[in-house]
Amino acid sequence: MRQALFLALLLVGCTPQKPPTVPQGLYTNVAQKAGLDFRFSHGGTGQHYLIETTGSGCAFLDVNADGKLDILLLQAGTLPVDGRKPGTGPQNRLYLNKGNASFTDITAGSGLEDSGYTQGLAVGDYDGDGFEDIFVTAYGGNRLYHNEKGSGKFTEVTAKAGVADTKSGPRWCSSAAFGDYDADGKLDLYVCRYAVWSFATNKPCKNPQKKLSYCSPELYAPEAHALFHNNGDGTFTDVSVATGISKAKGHGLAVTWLDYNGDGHEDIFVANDLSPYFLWRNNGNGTFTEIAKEAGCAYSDMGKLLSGMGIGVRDYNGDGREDLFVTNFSGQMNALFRNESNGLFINTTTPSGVGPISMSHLAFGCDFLDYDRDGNPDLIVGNGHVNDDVEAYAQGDKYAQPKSLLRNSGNGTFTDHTQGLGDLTVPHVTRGLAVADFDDDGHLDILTNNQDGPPELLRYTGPNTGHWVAFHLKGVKSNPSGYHARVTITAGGKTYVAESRSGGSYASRTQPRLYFGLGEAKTIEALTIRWHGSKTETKASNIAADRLYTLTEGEPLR
Amino acid sequence: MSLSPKLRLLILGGGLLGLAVGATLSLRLLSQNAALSRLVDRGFQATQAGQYAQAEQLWGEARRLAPDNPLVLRSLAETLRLQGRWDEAKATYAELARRAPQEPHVHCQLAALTLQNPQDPQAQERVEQAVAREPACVSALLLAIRRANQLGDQKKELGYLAAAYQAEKRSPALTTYYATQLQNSADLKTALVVTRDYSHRYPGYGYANAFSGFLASRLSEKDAQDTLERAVRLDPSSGLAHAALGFHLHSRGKSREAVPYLENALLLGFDQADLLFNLTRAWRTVGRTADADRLQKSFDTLSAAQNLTAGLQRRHAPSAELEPALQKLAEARQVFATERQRLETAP
Repeated sequence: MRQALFLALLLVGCTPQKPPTVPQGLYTNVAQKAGLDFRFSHGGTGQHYLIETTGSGCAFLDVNADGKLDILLLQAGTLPVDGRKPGTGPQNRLYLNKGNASFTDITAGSGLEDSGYTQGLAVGDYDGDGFEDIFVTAYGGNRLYHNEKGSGKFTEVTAKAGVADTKSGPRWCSSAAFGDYDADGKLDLYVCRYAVWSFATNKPCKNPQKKLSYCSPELYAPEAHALFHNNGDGTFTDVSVATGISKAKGHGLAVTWLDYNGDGHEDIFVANDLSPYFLWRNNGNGTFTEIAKEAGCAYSDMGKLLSGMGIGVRDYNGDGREDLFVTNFSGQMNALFRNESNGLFINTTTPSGVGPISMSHLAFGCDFLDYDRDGNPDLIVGNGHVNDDVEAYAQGDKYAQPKSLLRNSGNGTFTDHTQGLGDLTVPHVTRGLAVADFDDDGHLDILTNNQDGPPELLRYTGPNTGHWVAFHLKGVKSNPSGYHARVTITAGGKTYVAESRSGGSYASRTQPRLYFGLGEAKTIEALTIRWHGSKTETKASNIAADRLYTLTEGEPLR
Repeated sequence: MSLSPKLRLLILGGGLLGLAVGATLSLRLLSQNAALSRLVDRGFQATQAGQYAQAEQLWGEARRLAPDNPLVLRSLAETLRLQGRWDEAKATYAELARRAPQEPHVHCQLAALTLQNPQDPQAQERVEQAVAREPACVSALLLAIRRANQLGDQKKELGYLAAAYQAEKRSPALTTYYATQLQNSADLKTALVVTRDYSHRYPGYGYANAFSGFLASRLSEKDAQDTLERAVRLDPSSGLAHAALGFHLHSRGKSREAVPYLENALLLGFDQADLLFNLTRAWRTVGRTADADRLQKSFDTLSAAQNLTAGLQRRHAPSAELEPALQKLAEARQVFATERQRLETAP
C-alpha cells in the first residue's frame, strides 16, 4: 500500500536506575552523642550572595596540650550586609576532648566565639610557646588567636601580628596554611584569596528556571594571594611582593605546603577554582616561582581549567614522593597528580580510577586516610553542591551528597568503596573536613562541617584490621609544630614516607599527627626523621607498632 | 546561546526525518463515497508523480466533499509542504489537529513544520503538545532539545535526547550528539554505552570506535586501547582516533609511544586545545624540553583565549567585548598551523 510509505516505527526507552546502597557500619556519626551540638549556618537572606556557597572549615587541635584532640567548628552565621552585624547570630564552637569519646563545649569565654563571617583556618604554634594558635580567615578581616598557655582562652592578636589583610578593604580569604619557607624555625603563613568580590558587587544570576541563583566565580576577577613572614616577635610582614607570590592571580580555595622536589625547601600548592592551580617552587633564596604548568599540575589531564576546592597530600604509591589529590566541581574529575623524580607530575586521574568515579560529585574537603590500615593510603572526600537548586535543572546532580571513600588497591589504582560505609552514605553538603584519631583507638576518624546543618564526627566502627603507628612531632630548632619534618619508616619490609604539615583539605586543619597504616607489620624496623631546616635527624629502630609516639626534636623516642 | 553546527545539522536532519514519518491511514470512510475515493486515488497518483499543483487541486476538491476527513486534510497539508508553502501547510495541519486530534503523528508533523520558523511564538507550545502526545516524535523532540539547550536546562535536554535516541538509533548525528551531551553532563558511563552500541552497529566506522575508545579510556575500561587501535586501523585519517590513542598512552605513562599518535593527530588537522596540552606534556616527559616550552606558551595563550571567550559567551557579553576576544582566539589558534608546518618540515 502507498500509505505504508508513511509508516515508521518509533520506540521510546528508559534509563536503568542503580539500586541504592544500604548503609552499614564502617563509620558511625557520633557527633550528637559526643556532644557536638553545633549547627552551621551560611546566613543566606535569599539574595544568593556567592560567599554563602563556600561554607567553613573545622579542625582537630590540641588546645591544652594534654595529648587529646579537641575540635573547633567555624561558623559563618550572620551575613554582614543590609545592616546586619557579625557576631549577633550563631558562633564558632570549641569543644574540649574529655577523653571518653565525648566533648565539652568550652566556647564561652574562650575568645573564639565570633570570628566574623568565617571561611577557613590554620593551626600552628607561631610563637613557639608550646601551644597551638589559630588563624581564621573571614570576609572583611582575618583573625589570629594566641593560645594562652592551654587555658582554653585565646587572645586575638591580629592587629599586632599584622595579618588582618584589610589594608585594601574587605577581602574574601578562604584557606590558609602555616609553613616555614625560609627554614628559620618560625611558622610563616600563606593565605588564599578567592575573588575580587563584595556584597555591593555581587551579581544576580538566574538558573535555567529563571529563578535567582548563585553565579559562577568566573564573573569575579581572581586575586593574588598573600604570604606573611613570621618575624619571631609576634608580628608578621606581608612578603607577597618580595617573594613573588603576588605575581599570579587565582580563585584560591585550598593550600598546602610540600617539598615536591625534595630539595629541602618547602614549596606551596594551591587549588584554584576556575584558574590554573599554583605550584610555587621555593627557590631557596626567599623567592618563589609559579611552575604548575611546567610541572604538570595546573590543569586537568585534558588541559582544562578545574574548580579546585580541596587538597590531599600523601605518597599514595609508595615511591617515596608525596603526591597530590585535588577535589573539583561536579562534571569534572577529582585530580590525582603522581610526583615523579624529575620535578614533574604525571596526571594519573583516569588510570588511577579516582577521576571517573568522582564526576557526579562536587567535592570540597578531602584527605588521604588509611582506614583499613593496610599500608596503602585511601581517600576520603566530602561532597555537596554549591547550588541549592541544582536538582531542578542538572542531570544527576544533588545538593546534598554522600561522602566518597576510595580504597587504594596498592597497585596505583583506587576503587570506589560503596558497601558497608555506614554513615558516610548519609547525604550532606560538606565543606570542611578533617581527619584524626580523636578517640585514640588507632583508627582514623573524620570530622566535617556541613552547610546549614550539623557537623559529623564519623568514628571508625569497621573491622579491626592491620597495624598502625602515629607520631606527634615537636620541633625545637625546627618549627615548633614539627611541620615539614620528613618521617621515613620501614615496616614489614615496606618503606613509608610522609611529612607533617599545616593546610590541605578545604579550609580545615587535618591530620595533626602523622599516621601510618602498617598492614601485617607489628614492628617498625627503622625510623628516620629529618627535621625541617635544622638538619637534625632522629633515628630509631625496632619500635613497636600500634601506638602513638611523641617525638621531640633532638630527644630520643618517647 | 548560539547552537553548535552539530546541533543545527542534527535538527535539520531530524526535521526532514520527521516529515517522512507518516501516519496510519484509514480508507474506511472513503469507501462510502465513490467520488471522493476517485479523487483521493488521483491525488495520490499526482503526488507520487510530483505534480503538486494538480495534486493540490484534487485534494482541494476532496476537502470540499469531506471537510472533516483526516486523510484528505493530511494529504493536502503534505502537498502544500512539498511545494515549500510552510505557512499554508502548517495551517492545514493545525486544522487537522483541531478536527482530528487523535490522528497519529499529526502533532509531530506540526512540530516538524514549526522547524521552518523556530521563532514562531507557538513553537514551544506545539513542541510540548507533540512530545506529550507522541513521545517518540523525533521532530518535536529535536525542537525540544534545542529549546532546553538554549535555556541551559541540561536535565530536560538529556531527557528529550534519550527519547529521541531510542526512537532513532540509526541516526549517526543524533547518536553522536547524545553521546557528546552525556559526556558534557559527566555521564560518561551512559555515553560509553551509547557509543559502544553505535560502534557495534557500525563496526567498520572508525569515528564510532574512536569516540567509544576515548570514553573507555576516560573510564579506565580494559578495552580502551584495543578499541582505539582498531579506530586508527579503520580510519588512519581520523585525527580523533590518533589523538585519543595518544591521550590514552600518555596517561598510562607511555609517553614515548604516545608522541607519534599525538603528532599525527596534529598533522591530520585535529585542532583541539587538549591535543596541544597532551603533546606538550608528552614532549616534556620524553625530554623534548624546548619543544614543550614553546608549545606550553602557545597552549597557555590558547587556553586563556578559549576560557575568556567561553565565559563571555556564557554570559551573553556585548559584541564590543566579545569581538576582541574572538579575534584573540583566532590569533591563538594559529598555533595549529604553525606547529603543523613545523612537523611537516621536521627532518
